[in-house]
Parts: sequence; structure tokens; C-alpha cells
Amino acid sequence: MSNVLTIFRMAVWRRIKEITRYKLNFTLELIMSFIWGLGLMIFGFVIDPAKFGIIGSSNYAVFLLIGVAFQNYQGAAVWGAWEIKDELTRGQIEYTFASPVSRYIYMLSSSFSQAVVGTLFGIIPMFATAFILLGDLPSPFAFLMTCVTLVLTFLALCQIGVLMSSAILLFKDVSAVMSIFNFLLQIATGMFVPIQFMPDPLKTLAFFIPLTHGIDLSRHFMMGTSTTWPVELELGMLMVFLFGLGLLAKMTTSYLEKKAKKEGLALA
Amino acid sequence: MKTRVDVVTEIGAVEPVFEKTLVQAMNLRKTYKSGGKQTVALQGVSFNVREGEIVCLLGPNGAGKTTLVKILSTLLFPDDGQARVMGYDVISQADKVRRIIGYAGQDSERSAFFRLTARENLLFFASVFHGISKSEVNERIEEMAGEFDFKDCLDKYFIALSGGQKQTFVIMRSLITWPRIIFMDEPSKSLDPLTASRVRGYIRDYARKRKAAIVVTTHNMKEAEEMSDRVIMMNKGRVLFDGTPEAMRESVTRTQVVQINGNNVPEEIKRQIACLDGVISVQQENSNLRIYCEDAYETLPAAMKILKNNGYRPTIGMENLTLEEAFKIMVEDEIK
Repeated sequence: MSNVLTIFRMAVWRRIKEITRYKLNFTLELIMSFIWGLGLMIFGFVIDPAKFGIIGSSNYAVFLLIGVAFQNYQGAAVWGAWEIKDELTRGQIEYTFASPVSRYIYMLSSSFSQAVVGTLFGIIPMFATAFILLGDLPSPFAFLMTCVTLVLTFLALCQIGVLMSSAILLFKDVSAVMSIFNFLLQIATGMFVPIQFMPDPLKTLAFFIPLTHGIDLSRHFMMGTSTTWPVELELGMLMVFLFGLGLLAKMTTSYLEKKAKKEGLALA
Repeated sequence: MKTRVDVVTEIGAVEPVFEKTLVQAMNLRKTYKSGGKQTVALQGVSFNVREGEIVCLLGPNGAGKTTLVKILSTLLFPDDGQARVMGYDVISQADKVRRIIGYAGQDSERSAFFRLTARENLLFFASVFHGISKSEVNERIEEMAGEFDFKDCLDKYFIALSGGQKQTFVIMRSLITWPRIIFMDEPSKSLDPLTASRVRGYIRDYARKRKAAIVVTTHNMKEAEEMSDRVIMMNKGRVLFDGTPEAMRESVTRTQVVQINGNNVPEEIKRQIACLDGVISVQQENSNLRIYCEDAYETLPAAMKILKNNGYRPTIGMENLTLEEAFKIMVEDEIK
């Protein structure tokens, strides 16, 4: 039986092999992610910096860059699910399920691999760019706390990935749910606009999305912006998301397996 | 612990003797429920597979073969009954079962990662799903690729492989962990005759050398005849026959065969033969005319007389039913 580290290592190995297989495409994708980042920064030059006084920094370009960097983790939450859907469609899922690998770990490894790729090719370069634009390196404590925030967000979103994968196996097609989820991640997490500017109902919704706290805390530690909620609460929420969603993901996977064994795994 | 031994019979032929049971299915029942409709897949199926034995599951579409394989591979729960694989219960000890089985499913030709090579795919599956070390996997890949004439395909992307090569890959994947028990759902699908024969040979040797129990579903009667030690004929979720291929042919006692060699028997003669008492049907099978009858001893002289009266003297004789013919007759009997 494989150990968890091997499964995760091999999932990342496979993912990197796949995305780097076609070199031209890979290079263009890398370039495009930077072009997207740069393109979005245009907003930084057209939006009145004075409006951002409320959050304690008027550097909208860096504010936006950090928010947009988290789009890389958006993929982690849904990529695993797409992969499982792909396996289901291709008939590979039966081989997977007839093997001794833990279903939860396997699904988690799929999201995890995407999150690692997102960190390597998205988060790290974009955060490095943010540091350069800020013109000042953060303190070791701020750097450490940024890393902690990233890891917690990364892992919490991977649990959502497992939940999405399970939903696909249970309901066969949840593309609409995934679209809504993607929409919420972009609109209700403060990726582009400070949460403080949002109406209260949207703020409440944002509170229950892990990405909100990841973005808010990263900006706080890197740029010194004020957080929407107390820092301890936001870090605590990330922990709650990680363990709560993790537990839910495990339970769902277990339920899924029982249901699949009763009804079969075929794509209905 | 008893093991399989080869016994030299009085006439000198080596016949395998299977002693230890590795797969047990006991009164398995399964009904699928979907949209208010119920489909009965298995209605109390029982059988054993012993070490070193290859068992082919035969039956028309919807007979329950795939459901049976899925239950034994821990992919489905039965509604009732019990199944054990190497003594482990497929429901309560599914994890242990999965560690010792190899599985090649039916929709397997697309069941790998398209942007990885065949070698990378095998490495991924063996490492992630079974925890085998890279060096061990590579050694096994090389060995199997040699056996299956697959060496040139190992470093091709999976997407670039032909249908037959993908199927060969799937068979290799199911064998890569040296499993003691293997379940294969239509393994020869898409394989050219040469590769299919090579695969059958490998699986036969594997079962003997590794004392493995292998359960294969197939629609290919030639494959069943060549490869299996036993065939289990299923229809509508029930076992109609369980025994050797020879015994299956012999079990269909009500139909015998008289064969006229050659494909140039005039239609008028065919019509006269078809009208003989006891003749069930007359069919041209490739280059032979096969006369299915109730009693070949009655039909043969009568058919010879018709041929002689028409000035036609081809080679004629009594023949055994093929497994495919026995299969068709069993299914037709079941429908009646």
C-alpha cells in the first residue's frame, strides 16, 4: 500500500509532466498568466488611490496582484473535481477504485498537485513581483505568517476540491455548481475589491469562504492593510475551514463509496 | 497448505490439478434500481476458482458477467450472498482484497493519462496505487514489454497508442503487481489475432507459474477454448453451466453435427438435406456446410445418399459442436 507522501509526490510529478509536455503551450501559459496580472494592474492606475485609505494602503496594483495570485488556488479547489470527472468519463475510475489507494487521499492528491503547481508557477512569481513593486521586503514574521496563511488556504481549498470531486461522483455533473463556486471565489472574496467596500450580505457570505481570509491576511502581512475581521479570527477561520471541510470531505468520500458500491460508478 | 501439482496421466499428458480455492462466490444476488425500474443482474450465482485456474465467464450481453466481476473486485456490493477472495470478504475486508487483485475493466482503453507515456502511466499506477518502488516497477515493465512485444510503445504518449496497444497496456497494468488473483473484463477486445494469442499464452503461463486464479469475461469463444480451464456459462444472472469447455460442448446432447467439407454444395442439395427427419438446420460456416441434427448416426447416411444420388461426393463426417455453437444452443434453449 502506498504511503501518503508517495501518492502526493507522484500526483505532483504527473501534473508537472502533463503541463510541461507541450513546451510551447506551457511557455505561453506562463507568459499569459503574467500578462493577465499586468493587465489587471491597469485598474491600479485608473482607480483613485484615495478611496483605499480605508484599508490602510493606496497601492491598488499590489493589492490586486495579491488577490489575483489566489486565482491559482481557485484551480486547486475545482481541478481535482475536473480530474475525477475526467476519470469517470473515461472509465478510469473503476481501476482507481479497485486499487487499495485511499479514495480521500487520491482525490486530495489531485487538488494538492494543482495547488503545488499553482504555488510554483503562480503564487511565488506573483508574490515576488508584489514584493518588488512594494519596494520593501516584509519582516521575517510577516513573511512567515504569509506562508502560514498560504498553506492553510491551500489545504482548505484542497478539501473543497475533494468535496467537489465527491459531488461529481454522486451527481455525475455539477458543472453549474462549479461555475457558481468560481463566480463566488472571484466576486465575494475581495479578490478585486476590498471586502470593506462590500454590502453586509456579501460580507457575511465572504466570511464563509476560505479564500477571503487567505487573501485578506496575505495583504495584511505583506502590505500592512487592515483586515476585515480580527487577524486571530481570520486565522482561526482558516483552521476551522481546514479541519471542518477536511472532516466533511472524508465523510462525503466514505458515503460516496458506499453509494457507488450499491449503484455502480457508471456515468448515468 | 495445499498447492497445485501437475499430474502425469497414464497416457503421459500433463494435466493440471487445482486444489486451493482462491475465489468463492456464494449465492450472489444483485438488482439495479434506477428511475423506478429494477434490473435483475444476478440471481444466486455461486462458483469457485482455484489456484492456477483460468475461468472464463461466458454469456450474452446483460448476462451478469460484468456485475459479477465488479462484485469480486470490490467495486459493487451484492444485495445478498457472499464472496471471498483469498479468504477475504469482498465487503468487510475490501481493502485487503484490493491489495491482492489485478483488475482490467471493460472501458479500459481510455483509462490512463493521455499526456503521459505508457511507461510513465505504468510507473504512476504501480507507485500510487500499489506502493511499488520505481526500480521494481521499471524491471517489471521491461519484462512484460518484452513478453507482449510492447517495447516500442513504452515511450509513446498514451494518446498516440492504437486501440490494441492501449488494451495491451491495460492488461500489463493489471499484471504489474504480480497479483495472485486477476479479474479481466473482455481482455482481448481490440487486439489483433497475433497479440491476442500472445496475451492468452502469457496469461496461461502466468496462472501456472504464479499459481494465480484468473477470471475472464469474454464473448470470444476461441479465447475461452484456448485459455480457460473452466467455462461458466451465464444468462439472465444465472449460471447455466460450469465445467470444462469440452464438457460444455458435450452437455448440449440434443444437437449433433454432420459436416460436409467445401463451400460449393448446390442449394438444391442443401434444401433436400434440410428436409431430412431429425435435421434442425443447415448452415454454411466458412468453407464447410454444417448440418445440425438430433442424431448424426441417422442423418449421416441419409445425407450421403442425397449427395450420391445427385452425383456429388464431397468429404463428409461427424463433427463435434464448437464452443460457440454450444453457447448459441444454450442461450436459445434458455430463451425457449
